[in-house]
Amino acid sequence: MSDRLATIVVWIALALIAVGLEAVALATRRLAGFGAALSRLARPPAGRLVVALGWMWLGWHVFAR
Amino acid sequence: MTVRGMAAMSPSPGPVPPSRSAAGVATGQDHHPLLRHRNGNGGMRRNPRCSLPAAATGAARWEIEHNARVRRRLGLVGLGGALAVAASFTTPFTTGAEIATALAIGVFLAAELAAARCGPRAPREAPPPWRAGAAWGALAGTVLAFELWNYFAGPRSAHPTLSYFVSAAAGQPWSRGLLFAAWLALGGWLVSR
Repeated sequence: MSDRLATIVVWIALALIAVGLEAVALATRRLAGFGAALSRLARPPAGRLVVALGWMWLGWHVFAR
Repeated sequence: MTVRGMAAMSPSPGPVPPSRSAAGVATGQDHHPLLRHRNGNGGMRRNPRCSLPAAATGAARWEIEHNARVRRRLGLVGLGGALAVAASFTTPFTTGAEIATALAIGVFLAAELAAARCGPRAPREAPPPWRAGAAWGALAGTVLAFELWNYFAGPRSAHPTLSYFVSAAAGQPWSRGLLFAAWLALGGWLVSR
């Protein structure tokens, strides 16, 4: 297996894990969903700053640079 | 006469309604769920600039707040749509792309500052315990570590990063516009939290 294919397989596995976590959160309510976890992280001021900076960096990185 | 008109004609500051003390502290007698949400900040004082005239109570207050909220959201959605369309015609490393992205970030910062000026937000629901989000933290750490490993392992064609996939996905104007709109929607959701 080439490096490229192996890397893509790992990325797909991570994406499937994320989908699985969200599904478990929806089905069982024992886990926080992604939105709830992000809200929890953004509740304290420091966490909100981190999330806001992350959002701004994401947009600048993807669309401007 | 509309409710807004009646509220505007009311003398300012006007008599203190029974559900609100002279200090502007909610006393728990606003019965509408949305008002309970707005005032459910543990009795903390709200910034007067974010408060409605004292004479506006009950359904009138709810209608004024609701209409203002709808107008604000429609305006932001329209602005976001225009920005997404504009961004769809840009490409990275150009002035146009930088302006479109900087405008979106500016609107986001202005909305955040406006929300912060109105005091602490009332929680919509009980926050989940930290341990309930531990799995997401572990996944985020794994993604970050793998991203960095790929970034430094190079070459990019053999070790594609997330940016590699996103750049490929944003290659067409329509997909770029959709991604930009999704990014704006995420920002709007963050502001609303």
